[in-house]
Amino acid sequence: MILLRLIDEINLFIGKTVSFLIWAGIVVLCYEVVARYVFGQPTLWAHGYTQRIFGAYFVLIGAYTLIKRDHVRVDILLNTRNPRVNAGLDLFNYAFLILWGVILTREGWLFFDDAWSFNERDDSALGHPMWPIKLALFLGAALITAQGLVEAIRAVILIINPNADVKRSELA
Amino acid sequence: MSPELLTIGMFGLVLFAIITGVSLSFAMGGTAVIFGALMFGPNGMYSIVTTMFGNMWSILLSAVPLFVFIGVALAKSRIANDLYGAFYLWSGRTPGGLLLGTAGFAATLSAMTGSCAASTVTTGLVGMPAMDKRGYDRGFVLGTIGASGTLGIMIPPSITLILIGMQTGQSVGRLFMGGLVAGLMLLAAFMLYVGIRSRMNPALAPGADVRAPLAERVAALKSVILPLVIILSVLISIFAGIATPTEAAAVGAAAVIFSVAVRGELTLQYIREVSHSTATMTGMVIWIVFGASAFIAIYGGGGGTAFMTGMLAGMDVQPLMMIFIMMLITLVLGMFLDPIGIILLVLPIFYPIVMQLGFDPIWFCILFQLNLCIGYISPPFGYNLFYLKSLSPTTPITAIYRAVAPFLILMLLTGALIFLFPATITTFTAIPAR
Repeated sequence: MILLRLIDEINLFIGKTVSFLIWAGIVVLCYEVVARYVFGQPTLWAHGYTQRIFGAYFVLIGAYTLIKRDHVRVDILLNTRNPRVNAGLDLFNYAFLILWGVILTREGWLFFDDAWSFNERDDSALGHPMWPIKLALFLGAALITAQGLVEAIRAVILIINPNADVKRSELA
Repeated sequence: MSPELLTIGMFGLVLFAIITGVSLSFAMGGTAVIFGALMFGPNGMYSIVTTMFGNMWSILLSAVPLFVFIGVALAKSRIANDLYGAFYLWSGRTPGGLLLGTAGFAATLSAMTGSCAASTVTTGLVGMPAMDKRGYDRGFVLGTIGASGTLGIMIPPSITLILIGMQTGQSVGRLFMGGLVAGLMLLAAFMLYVGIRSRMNPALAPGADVRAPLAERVAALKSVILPLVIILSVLISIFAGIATPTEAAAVGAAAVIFSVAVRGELTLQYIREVSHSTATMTGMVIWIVFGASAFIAIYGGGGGTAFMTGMLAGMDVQPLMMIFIMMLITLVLGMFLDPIGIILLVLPIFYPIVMQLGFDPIWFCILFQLNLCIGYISPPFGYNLFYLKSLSPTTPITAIYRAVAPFLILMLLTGALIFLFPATITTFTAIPAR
């Protein structure tokens, strides 16, 4: 139970922190516009770093979105009066996530490993390393899979005992 | 696995999963993994991660969180309330005036946000209390809000139009221009209907007794100016090719934060809330994109996309009939699937045929987009229907279906108009620089 709670807290912390990345994206893009029209000299790096910032942002907010219940679900069958049925449908939902997430995590690691061992660089004039953003893909996939496992375990507990306290974190 | 079996299996499983309450994103991703393993074995799924990375690396997709940010930042400030106040004061004494104002407000809001959720819910929250006070008919109000809310993805900036641009490689500036024209056509249709119906039956939407003094009305306009300037400059810089959609969105976001700061509403609390909500709303959209790209990687890899394109192209029908069939398919899918999913799943199948037949691609994309809008209010699963239900929890869902029905017909008629007279759109979409 403590472990479930711990993963919640880690994902909440990472999600909240990463959500501020958008400000970095806004600053970089505005700087690029100013550099182009005011200084008459577009930057070499703004484009590539916008891709890196938002790429990392996209993949790392997945688990946070899951905790906040914002991966929208059609709820005609959900919220039935039978808590065991609800928990069962939850389990079905997370089973799909886990299937996908495990593959994403494994293939994501290989993807990162390739970029790391060949020191892959982006193909623009910038030529900076690609491994950090690919590491972000692996991490984001691992985090949402871990959160999916946590929620699936909770669903199983609730199927066995609908009145169990599954120790969800406060969603502040 | 034969492409027929693959098609039925993959689409069937996704449909079954979402009806049992699986998130669309996970449903598509999980289905991709199951069928990927069946066809290519457990080690044949590298394409799932490479296509996902392609989306992460897409600079155009970076515009999505920025437009979400603009919408959230406006909705969480008092700007939206002030804006409604201006429409309220100007709605005057005509029957249905407030509803006309509400529709106009929703359209203006749509020009600031890129999603239907934001424009529908905000319009409802801000507008409904005033209309309740005047005794407007609840069904009439809900229908108008639900329909005008769909303009959120039609009137630019629009997240779905960005995704359509990403999928087809068409200019986002031209797509935005087409969306603007189609959105204004829809708005005109809604307002005409609301105006005529309330004139014929004023009890549905009684007019105000007194008109606000002119000075007060003019003063209220002040609140409209700033957001209008922001949004117009974002659009114009995209249309004129001064900035890419992503850059324009970032500058727009900075401008919104600046104007919130000028109003003295920029607190640490506000910054935190805007950042967190932007993240989860973006997370929902982007992970659907990730799921759909996994689905398409496996479905396409197994020959499904080519099979479907071939089957459609092999049908012996008139070219216009072909477009009509595509629209019909989109409409039906819209009743069950999220618009983002539809764009990513069916455009790769439809688009090559449309190009081969020689139709104007922007015209087609706007028609396609209009069908997605209709999907938002078509029973049983249109998102806006659920937003309306949450705005008015005591109204039975069947009453909501009835309330949106006339607007559904209006949208279909507008679609028919664009379908029959492409010039309504193509005249304008030639304007943007790129």
